[in-house]
Amino acid sequence: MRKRLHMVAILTALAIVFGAFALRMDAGTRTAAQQAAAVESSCDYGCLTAMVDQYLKALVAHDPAQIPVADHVKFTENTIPLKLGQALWGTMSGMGTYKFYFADPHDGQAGLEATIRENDTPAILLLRLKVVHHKITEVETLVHRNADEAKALEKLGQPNPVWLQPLQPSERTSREDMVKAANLYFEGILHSSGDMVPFDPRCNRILDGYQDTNNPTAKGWFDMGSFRPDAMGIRENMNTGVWTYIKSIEPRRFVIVDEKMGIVLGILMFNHPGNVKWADVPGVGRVPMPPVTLRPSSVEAGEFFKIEVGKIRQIEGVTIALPYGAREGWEEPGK
Amino acid sequence: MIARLAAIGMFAVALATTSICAGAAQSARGAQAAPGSCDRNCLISFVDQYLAALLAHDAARLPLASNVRYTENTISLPLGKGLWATASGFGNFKQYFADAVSGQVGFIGVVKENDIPAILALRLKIVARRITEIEAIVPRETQGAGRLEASGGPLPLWDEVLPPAERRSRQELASITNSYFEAIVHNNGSLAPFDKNCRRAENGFYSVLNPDPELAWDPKSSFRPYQLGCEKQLNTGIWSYIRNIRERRFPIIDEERGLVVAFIVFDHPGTVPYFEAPGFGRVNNPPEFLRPNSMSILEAFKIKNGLILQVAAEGGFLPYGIGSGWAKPSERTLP
Repeated sequence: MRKRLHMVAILTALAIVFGAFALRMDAGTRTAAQQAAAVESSCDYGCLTAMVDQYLKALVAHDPAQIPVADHVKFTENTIPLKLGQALWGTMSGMGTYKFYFADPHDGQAGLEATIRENDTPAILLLRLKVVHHKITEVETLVHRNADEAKALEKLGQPNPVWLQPLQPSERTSREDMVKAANLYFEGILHSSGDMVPFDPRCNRILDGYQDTNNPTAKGWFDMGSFRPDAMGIRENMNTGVWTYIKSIEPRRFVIVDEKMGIVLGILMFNHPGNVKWADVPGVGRVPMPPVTLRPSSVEAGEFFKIEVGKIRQIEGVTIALPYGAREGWEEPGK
Repeated sequence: MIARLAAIGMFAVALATTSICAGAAQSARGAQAAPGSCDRNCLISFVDQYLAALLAHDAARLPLASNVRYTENTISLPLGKGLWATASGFGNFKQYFADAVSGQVGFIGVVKENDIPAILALRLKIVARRITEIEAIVPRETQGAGRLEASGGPLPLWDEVLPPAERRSRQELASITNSYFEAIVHNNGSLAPFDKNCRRAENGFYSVLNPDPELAWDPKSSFRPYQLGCEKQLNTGIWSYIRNIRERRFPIIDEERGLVVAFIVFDHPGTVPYFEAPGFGRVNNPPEFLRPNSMSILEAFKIKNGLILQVAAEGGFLPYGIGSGWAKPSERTLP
């Protein structure tokens, strides 16, 4: 349920949104320096995912010396800057049964979502690595420590095939348009408008192991009589306005654009001031917000979007509950 | 293991030295507040004024210094955000701690956010009759808030003015409080001076001298640590999962009443799967202590005749390694 802390809603000011949108687009276009770095790093798709495997192996061994790191390597776990060797490095006891990778050779970045064991208790890991000259310069991890939700992800069996299948050339979208589609999803949340988002009709969302769209058996937060938003398709669900307790989604970083697989990874902060008491749902009326949304909180989410022919085919993500106003740990200095 | 403990011990000693120096500096200024400063009643009235403004969602009612700083659960926020947007009432439990020498005042109470109860642990610093610092710890735990309410109010012993012979100097009070944290990190109850009736409430839950036979640590063990007194319980090793207590501050000290309010951050790296309790053998730590997290805590102490008589701790789980919001990141050393 708490995965729903992530998601949607109200627009504060058009100017702010569009200003932020323009900034975000930078993530989809590469600077000359980045291009030069990409050429120099020359770690291809297989090299990057191998680096992810090497990282995981070192993590299980509790031994950061087993990975090649740059002198200035930066590591965060759940937004907090730490030293390699701390936190999950001390508790990781093995991998679970669920994982999928993504990589962006253009930017030298790669990662995965996986279930893990931490002192034998299941958890969900989202990992992002940045690799320059075959050395790891950035490590960003989100560890969702909820055993039931990790088990729910494993109960799905394998990841949805869309995460594992490369796109045909005809299905590909430009880097810029991939980021634009993913960003529109967040705009859709803030505007309670699924109609503005380029959804593939087959799109579903699974957050922390819970599918909250087209899920007729789910007992949702907002269920009221015949109103069952978790049973709806994602566009219809977004149009209801139940995500209006999400007042901002800032900052937003689109950190990995995997052109081969058609995957965009966004890492962003959902901010919930706790002052939205109900949603005005078209055709239904006032639907009370659940208690968990009536207190201030922020939730960091790492969300993956599969983009096929310019449409969002599938969404999956991992979230971390944080105090309201928490930072991501990756802000530019001075901000 | 021994080397590691020794390293932690050295760190703790270094911290203790710093902290006690801070206490000594205050003590050197004398136990009397400067003329014209804010006395106990004045300080308490600041808390009441603060609570009224909070309820009105109107910080402009307060006499604020131009550089006032506010944190909520360690995060710096503008006044008006966080609890300032959601406070809808207060419970009956109200406990005050005033220090006219440092110009600081503490408060433990129950706040309602959109009618949902939470604990509010607060510190205000007053300089020249203006609020310069506001530190709020808000454990959003309805059960804990319910326990405080059900208690009927703080025990009368907290507010009892001690006969001069039973008082201790500011420096001694800070030192005794610090020794309590040393006793925790060294699993050695003899490091701190305890009254035989010492009790501790954690978010309203009595974790010491609690006769409830159902309260177990490890369901597979007959070990019942909550029934023990403060010193004996510390000797069992149940707190061995707390590997570090950092950012120790003792901002509020009341010599007349024998009160200290400390702010600290507990680090739980999640790397201690069990401990050997004397007389019981191996006791497993529950899964929630086998994953990394930290806790930001307000911990209040009643010290009579140089002995710790009562402890009240209010706090909640946060990402591992998080700062208190009141120390420089460079001061942070983690296990």
